[in-house]
Amino acid sequence: MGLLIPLLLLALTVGCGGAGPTRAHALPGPGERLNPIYDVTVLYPQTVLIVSGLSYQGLELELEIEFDDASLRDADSPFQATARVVSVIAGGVMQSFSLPGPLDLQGTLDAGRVDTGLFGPIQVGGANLIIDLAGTLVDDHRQVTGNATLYGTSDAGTFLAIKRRRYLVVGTDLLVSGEAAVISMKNDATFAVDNDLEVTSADPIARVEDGRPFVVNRDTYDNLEGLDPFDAFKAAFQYTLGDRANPHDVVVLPPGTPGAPASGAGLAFVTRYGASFNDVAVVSLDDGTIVDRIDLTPYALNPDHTPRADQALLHDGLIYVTLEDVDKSFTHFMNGRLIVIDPAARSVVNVIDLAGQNPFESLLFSPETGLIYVGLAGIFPGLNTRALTGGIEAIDPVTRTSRGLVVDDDLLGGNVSAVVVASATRGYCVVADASFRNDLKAWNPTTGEVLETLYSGTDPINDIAYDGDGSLLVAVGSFIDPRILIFEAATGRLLATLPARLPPFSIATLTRSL
Amino acid sequence: MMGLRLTPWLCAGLLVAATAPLHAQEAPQGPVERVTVSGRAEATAPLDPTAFATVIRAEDFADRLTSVEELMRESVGVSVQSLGGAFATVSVRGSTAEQVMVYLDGIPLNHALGGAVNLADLPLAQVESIEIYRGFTPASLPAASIGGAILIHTRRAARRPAASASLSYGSFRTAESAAGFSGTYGRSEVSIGVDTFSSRGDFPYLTDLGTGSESRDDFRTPRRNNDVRRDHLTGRSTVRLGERAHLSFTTDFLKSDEGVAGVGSTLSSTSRYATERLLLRSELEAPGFWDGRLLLKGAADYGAYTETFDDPDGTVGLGLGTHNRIASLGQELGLVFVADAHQALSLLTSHRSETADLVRKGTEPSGLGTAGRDTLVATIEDQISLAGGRLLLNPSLRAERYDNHFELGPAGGIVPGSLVAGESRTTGKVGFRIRAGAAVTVRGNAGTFLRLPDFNELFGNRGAVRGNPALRPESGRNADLGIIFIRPRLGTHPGPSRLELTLFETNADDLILFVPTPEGTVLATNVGGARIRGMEMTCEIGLGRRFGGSLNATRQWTRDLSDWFSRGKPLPGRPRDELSAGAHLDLGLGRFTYTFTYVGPNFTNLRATADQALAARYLHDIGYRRRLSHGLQTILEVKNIGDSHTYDVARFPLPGRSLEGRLTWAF
Repeated sequence: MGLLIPLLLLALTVGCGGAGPTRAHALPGPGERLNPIYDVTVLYPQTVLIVSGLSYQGLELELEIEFDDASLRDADSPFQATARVVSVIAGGVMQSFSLPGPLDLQGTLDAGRVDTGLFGPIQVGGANLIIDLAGTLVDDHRQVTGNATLYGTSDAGTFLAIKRRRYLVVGTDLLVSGEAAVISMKNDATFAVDNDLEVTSADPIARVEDGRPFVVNRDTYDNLEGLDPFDAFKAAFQYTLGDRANPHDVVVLPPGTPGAPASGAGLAFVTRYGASFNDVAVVSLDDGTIVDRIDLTPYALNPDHTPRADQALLHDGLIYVTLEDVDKSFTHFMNGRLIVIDPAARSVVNVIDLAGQNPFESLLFSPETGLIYVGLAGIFPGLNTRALTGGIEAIDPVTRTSRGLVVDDDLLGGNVSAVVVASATRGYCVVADASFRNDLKAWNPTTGEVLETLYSGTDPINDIAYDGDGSLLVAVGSFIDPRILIFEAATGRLLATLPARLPPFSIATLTRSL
Repeated sequence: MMGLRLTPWLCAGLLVAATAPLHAQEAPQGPVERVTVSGRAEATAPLDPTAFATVIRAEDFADRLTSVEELMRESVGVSVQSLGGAFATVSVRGSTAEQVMVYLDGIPLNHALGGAVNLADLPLAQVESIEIYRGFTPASLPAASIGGAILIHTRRAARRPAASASLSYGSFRTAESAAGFSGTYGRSEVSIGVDTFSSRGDFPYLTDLGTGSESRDDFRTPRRNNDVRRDHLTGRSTVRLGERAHLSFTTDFLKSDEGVAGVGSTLSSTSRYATERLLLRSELEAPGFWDGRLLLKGAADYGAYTETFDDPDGTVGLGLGTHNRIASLGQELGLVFVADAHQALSLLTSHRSETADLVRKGTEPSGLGTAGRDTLVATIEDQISLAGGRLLLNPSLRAERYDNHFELGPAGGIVPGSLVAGESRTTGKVGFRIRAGAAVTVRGNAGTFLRLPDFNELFGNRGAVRGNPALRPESGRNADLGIIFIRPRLGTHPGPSRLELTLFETNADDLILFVPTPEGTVLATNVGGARIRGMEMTCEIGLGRRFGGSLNATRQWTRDLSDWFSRGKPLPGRPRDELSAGAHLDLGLGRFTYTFTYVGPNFTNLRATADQALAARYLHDIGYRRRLSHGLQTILEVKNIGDSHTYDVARFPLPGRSLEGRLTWAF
């Protein structure tokens, strides 16, 4: 190894890195799409490295590779990425290193094969390491495994790249303000939390749409906030949606979706819950202009004709919107409704009557079952007498008809306030019982069977999220002990408990795959 | 007691009355002394000679166009939180607004339903004096709390018939009219006053449309639905019974209707809040028993409040209106016994019964329930004068028993059926005063106080707030120590000068905070704690007959000790520094006045995040008063002359520059 890396080679390879990716600003308007990040472990067991006159056998590199999303999503196979070196271990000893320049990659992704091309150098002692990684996507793109070569040597190496999971968590003091934090899960095992990234409202909903992080600042804040993942998730824009609009959810049409503009930052479809709005606003993400609105008043059956549009879901080119169908004073609850909107025509194309009342903050599509699920809370105690008139309802998006309640809330034993589906045989929901305890329960989306209770307590569970990669996140909004619980979704095993600075209120998955 | 004319009174306090030795300067004043001030002098607290108190008299604001809210803000140790319209609350030494007891002519305005007293519902036109007891509530008052007490006294009858009338008009179509009459007829004194106030409140402000991170969409717009209309009537009659006894009746009626504009960017055009308040009180005081060493007093009062909130479009709340009726009936019996020239003992027992009928508007059935509270209080206070009156000790004990109950109404709600809750507590306080010569006085106090949970906290609001009948009272341990320097003259010009420096600390435990619950409501819980330390400085200076000035400064350090995420942070809504300065200059028949107010930067959230903090406020007011012939007087005042656009609380905008004029006729 001592013969490795003459200066000539250094110059050569610096040159190869110098033409690396300039960060793609994919969107002409404000906001950026998230990039996939993989944590890479590269092993060269036979490599000998001489540092300060000492010889070390075996080289292990810990890298972090951030792939440029725009170059991945385009039609050709080349992509650009940037690598960062986390650590260098030689002979089992941590070594110091330096980088003469950025580690820019120009690789290819073709038919599940990833080749980073040469990148480097990484200076360790007197050595300059120049690396090439070539492997195959496995485990539904969660990992890349393959061979690593070291330029100028015949040393054989291997590498394993594991998709980094990231979650946007917004917390709230329920009074004045909230804040955004990001949880990272490296190598499927190690968690890190970046707190206090940006101030949000006290009624914030985290969303990732079209690969872009948003915060819907709801009642009295009435705006849509875009976060910039390349600027530590600081606010990139904040667009007002109207005084007392009370926006509840957002859907952004990805490029190529019918109804999406050919250029620009795109369009957001925002449900406006406020009794003076009753619609879905079509918002230009270029400048926040509300370019159109889809009036939902005709679809509300309550005496005040206030639809109370809540959740929105983009599936198969259509936008599904839940209507709570409650009057202005929140005393007359009709059965919930699911509205289907053609975003290209900006009109309602279907109305699906739900079997239960009060569709509440849960609307999702499960690829495993091919069904859409709606969580129906029934009537919470408080202003009205508590009623278990909800549950979890399934919708067939092909026929656009309801299949009725998969699980009745009588069976669950309380009001359903959140629902996720992790697989065809395992979903989770949050149930509030009459004594104000919150239960996190597992249920079977295929049979409707209630499987088990994973968590029960008087601390509020403000949100749950399934990340699509096997983890269930639970936001325990205790003011005394605010925390995020992370479960293994397949088994219900608790993986981690992460303390939060503010009571967590809403979670969105930032993770992006190759 | 130079410059003070003492008249006996009874309310839980002391007398002085009769015996000659007790008229001596250093005789115990006792806890029920009532002092009528006939000139500026040492600012002894009328109800507690060891307490640090601010006394604001009618003549102090006679030359200005001001309000109770503004006078409070200018006082040392006091913070005011304003919503920029017809609602403002007060905090004393870092307390919450609910921890400050406010009395109007002896009737406590803090009712058991909860919420702080709105300073805007205390018209200044009929006020004779305001006493602010910082941190310590005199034992002679039937209710105490952690933050102290504010006593507002309406005008008393003049010895000869007198009448006055005034008209004011100013920016934002603010108009005020007041008239009063008083006189003494034989054994009776009569005083009556009426006043009205209205304002559009449509001052311009900068709205950020709720997008604090985006300034390009900010624009200036008039405040909407911020109007207020208030009518107020007050009256008092006093009849002398025999040689010394007095029987007095007071009444106060207020009716207000105001728009609820909402937070800065979130405007409502339809939400309204209306209040009606009727207060009645009768007092009998009889000094002179037992050779003039015993004073007896009894009082009864009745208060009826109606509070109506309409939110037809759900733009402020959830589209729900409420109509709450609160009734209060209180009785007090007390005595003061002067044991000798060095000691006076006073006792007070009081009972108060309060009920609140809670009604939700617009739905059937509408009755949410009825909450009730019975409170029984007994206090004993001793006042001991030693060392020839140079040392005064003032210990007191207060025992209180309260029982709460709630009966569920037909509209249902969270609380299952009926609930009861009750508890007994004893608190105490000791104070001292040392006079080191004529110019220097040292005072100090230490004690414990409680704030009882209110109905909202105990039983919920039948909506988003869940009650908790198991709540304990909030408790506070207060201490202060201060020194007062008085110079009757400065240089060659006559005029008193006074400097008061005070250190204080409050440790509050079991503070009631609303903690979120699983189903999205909040539950009142005893998880809060706080420590407030601070220092106060008051300086008054007179330079000749033409010029006078004053300076009040408060610096306080607050720390949240709650058992939750905000632990260790500064408390929101408590600026570290507040300062006010006033000056007047007399020229001929005119007087120029100037007032400067500084309110330091102020956190608005529990996390104390800097980018959510409110900027400091620097406000300058100038005024000119001129006496005309035939009892006429005119005042012109410009407030916030720098047109500073500022915010308070959770970014409620405050008015910029405004102009107001008043014409007064006294005859």
